[in-house]
Amino acid sequence: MPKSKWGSTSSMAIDRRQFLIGSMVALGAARHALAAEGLSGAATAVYASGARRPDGSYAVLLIAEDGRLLREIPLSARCHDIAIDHVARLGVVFARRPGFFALAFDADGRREPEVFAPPPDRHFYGHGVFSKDGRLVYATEHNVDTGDGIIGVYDAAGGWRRVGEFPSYGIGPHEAILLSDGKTLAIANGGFGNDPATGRESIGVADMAPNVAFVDVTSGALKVRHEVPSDINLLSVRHLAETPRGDIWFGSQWQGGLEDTPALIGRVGLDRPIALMVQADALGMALKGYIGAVAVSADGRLLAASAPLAGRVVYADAETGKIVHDVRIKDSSGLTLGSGGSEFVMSSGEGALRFESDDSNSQKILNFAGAEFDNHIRRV
Amino acid sequence: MTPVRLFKSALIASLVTVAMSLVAASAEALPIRKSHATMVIDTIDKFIVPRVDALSAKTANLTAAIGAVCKDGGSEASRKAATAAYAEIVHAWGGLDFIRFGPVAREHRLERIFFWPDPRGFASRQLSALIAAKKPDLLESGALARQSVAVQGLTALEILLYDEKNPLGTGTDETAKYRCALAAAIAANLHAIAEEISAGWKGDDGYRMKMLTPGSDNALYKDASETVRDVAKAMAMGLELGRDRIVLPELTAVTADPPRRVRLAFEQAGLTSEYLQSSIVALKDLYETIGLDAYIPADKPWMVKFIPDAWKSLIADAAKLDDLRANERGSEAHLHALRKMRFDLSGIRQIIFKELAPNAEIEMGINELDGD
Repeated sequence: MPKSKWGSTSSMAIDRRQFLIGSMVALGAARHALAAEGLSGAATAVYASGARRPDGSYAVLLIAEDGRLLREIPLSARCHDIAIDHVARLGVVFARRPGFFALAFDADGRREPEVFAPPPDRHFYGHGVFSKDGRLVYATEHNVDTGDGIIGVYDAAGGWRRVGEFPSYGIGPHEAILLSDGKTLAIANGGFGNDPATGRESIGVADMAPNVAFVDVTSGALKVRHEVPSDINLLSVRHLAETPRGDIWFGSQWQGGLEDTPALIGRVGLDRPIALMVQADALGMALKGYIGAVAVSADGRLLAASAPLAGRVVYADAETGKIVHDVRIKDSSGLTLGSGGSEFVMSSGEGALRFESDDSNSQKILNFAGAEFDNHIRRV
Repeated sequence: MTPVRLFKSALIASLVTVAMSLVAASAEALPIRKSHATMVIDTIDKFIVPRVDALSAKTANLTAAIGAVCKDGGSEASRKAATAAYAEIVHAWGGLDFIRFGPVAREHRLERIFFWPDPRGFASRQLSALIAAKKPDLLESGALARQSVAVQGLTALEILLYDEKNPLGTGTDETAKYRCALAAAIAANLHAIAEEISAGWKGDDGYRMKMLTPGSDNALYKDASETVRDVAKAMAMGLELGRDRIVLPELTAVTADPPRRVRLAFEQAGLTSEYLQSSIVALKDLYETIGLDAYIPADKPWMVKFIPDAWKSLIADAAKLDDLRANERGSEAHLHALRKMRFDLSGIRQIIFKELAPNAEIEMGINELDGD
């Protein structure tokens, strides 16, 4: 195995880890499920996030919870989210919309990163997710010719070859998450596309029909699709998080006038239609019509949603949907589970990583002067 | 070294020269530093509202001009007047379409005025369907506003008005008559939208007052630090539109192997340069209206000259783009103009959002400014 230019571990350490990883893979899907739930018991949690560096370049940064910058993997352009295989400790970072590359990396630097790309008539939307057994990656994509949303399937064990695709059952698929059953993909179809020629300019906003689609990953068949109500069709559903009970919370971005902004956070499920959070205080307007990321605490009690345009992160009771707490963080965006029970980790464009418990009684803030953390952060 | 790197090196070298020559002049008096509230009120009263009103007046002229084309059977003189009126609106819209907050953000007005990008020719297909159907009630006042946004504004009107095979107003068959009547209805619809935007800014309940009276009882804005962010973001939006709508698509196409053609905004009307130039002139105006140059840091005096030079270069390069595309496609001059525009748009954006805006206590991070 070639030594990574970013890695600094000894070959003996690599060998031991390889052996351990091999053992873990042999344990199969059950262990994968534990890892996906954040219960794998790793001694020191590691977080991965895209970032802009002071010279204007982009990179993926791997950071230990104690603040050590473990690794930096340069990128040719800005990325968005990172799919994580918690068992194999692999990450796949996707270029942001319209994205033309993905980069797979080993979190422990045991091998060189590998770059792969979508077909010429596709582009990435910035998100993807590993299959439960870690063998495949599902990426949200755009069919440039037809405008249709696509889930591209890539072989994680076979050189990231594209081995298939199925419809996203909507336009503009953004985040897709694999539900805890291991076989259903929930897809946030944001509702509009863009033309690679004109970069990030939106196409077809007025006629948006966003939805959350639930798709069987083995067949690619649609199980059920829940539409955003037509009177608020400009509500672009973007980011998703599942509770242990199987509810899907979503965060949206409003494409219309600020004064018309509805609630941006809502709940949906395989057998429950889209329902927006009921808020008396015009929360959608206060959050400036924009949610950057959502996460559900490990115990399922809390939902956190970041609102970078308002510089806030709001917490809601994941059962009642009621806002229970509100944190002010400038340029807040990335959100993921911390290593404790209900702990969240938040990242900001100002280089802050904030580790916070649900009641905000204990906080730890690390500041990275040379990193503007991009949209999403993930725990490896 | 690649040509791009050579180009960058040359620019950096020239910047350094400029910087050195300007150090001595750094003590020159700087403009007054405006408060956030003043930046916002000046932007609304000196930039947005006058431009919205101008758009409204020009769409009224266009409606009359298209009406004349239909009335006189599409004489050359009337068609010339109509295309001149159309060009006036492209000019007006170029200077306004990056203001994406307020009344323009409601009722799909932005897309109804200018449906773009349109990579799959949706406007043309929708328009053909309407002309084939020839429904008379679509021509009635207000009826078009309920149709697809693609057929309501400048994109559809460009297709009709600049169709050399079927000059508007000529022809006596039902299709030719309907085409002209539809063009007149589109012009009237554009005027109605412009009037709505204008009205939306004004009055006690208008967006102007909402922005000028932030506070705890204002659901939209709590203080001027919030309103000024919308103004600053409009600046970023305008710089990005120039880059993403015009410069990068063209640069990507002409440097592809083999080179490709890309359809740019207002290309059929021959008004791509007009649109881009108007946009850049307006952005310079907005930059000056906000008063950002007062926030040039004292230790970076080279910016005092770099910024106006960049605006000047951008305006000159934009002005010659149509000609370069038509007559010197792929030439060194064409590539140079595109690369220089990319450099200047990026340079101005970097300076504003990394230096001037933060100095003015308008700090916007990577996620707020351009998240997804």
